[in-house]
Amino acid sequence: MILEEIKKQVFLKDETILDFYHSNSIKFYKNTNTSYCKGELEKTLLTPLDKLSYLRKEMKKNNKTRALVIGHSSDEMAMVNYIKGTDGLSIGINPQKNI
Amino acid sequence: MKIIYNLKKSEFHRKLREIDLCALDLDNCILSGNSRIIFLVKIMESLLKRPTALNIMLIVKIIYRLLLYSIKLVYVRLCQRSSKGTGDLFIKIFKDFPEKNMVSTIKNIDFYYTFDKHASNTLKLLSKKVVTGILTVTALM
Repeated sequence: MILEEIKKQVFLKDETILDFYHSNSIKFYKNTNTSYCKGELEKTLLTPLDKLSYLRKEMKKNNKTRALVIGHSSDEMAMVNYIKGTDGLSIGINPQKNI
Repeated sequence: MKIIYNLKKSEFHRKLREIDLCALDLDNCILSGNSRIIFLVKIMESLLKRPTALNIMLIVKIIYRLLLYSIKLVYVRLCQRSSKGTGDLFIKIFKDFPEKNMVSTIKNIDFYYTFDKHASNTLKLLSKKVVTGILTVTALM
C-alpha cells in the first residue's frame, strides 16, 4: 500500500523505475463488504537473512552480479557483508552508532 | 548527516558505473519516526472531519492504543536496548480501521518530502539499465 504510493510519488518524479520491492504486508479482514485492518502483519520479511535471501533472489532472477545496497542498519548488515565479497558497493546514510 | 561508503568516495563514484542492481532500504524514510506521526495526524484529521459516533469511537481507540504503543516503544528501545523495527507494534493501533481510509490517508502524505535526498541523488547517478528495488522491514504495504 505504502510502497505503491512511493513508487508513484518518488520514483516517477526521479524518472527511476522501481523494478521490485519486498516488505511486510498488513492483514485485512472483510465484514459486510468492507475491508478492515486486522492490526497484524504478514510475517514475510523479518530478519537480516530474509533481506539477504530476497536480494540474492532478485540478483539471480535478473541475472545481475554487482549490487549496490543503500541503507546501514543492523537489518542490512547481512546484505552489506555479502556484496563485499561480490565486488558490490554499499552506502549508509545516518548509520546506527554500532555500525 | 553522516554518510559511509565501503570504499573511498572517489573510488565509489568510479565503481558506481559498474553497478547493475540497486537495493534500497527505506526503514528510516517510510512509516517510521516522523512519518508515522504524520500518518497518525492525517488519520485523526479525516475522522474529525466527520464526527459520527463510529468515528469518535475510533479516535478514542486510536488514542488509547497510541499510549500503549508509546509505552511498548520505550520498553523496546530503552529497556531491551533493541533497534529492531516496530512496525508490528505500530499497526496494532489501526485494528478495525477501514482499509479505504488508510489508503486515502497514505495518498495525502508527501513521500517525496520524507524520501532521503541522498538516496535520491545516488539513484540519479545510476545507469537507467540498473534494476532498482526496495527491501524493507518496517514499511507497511
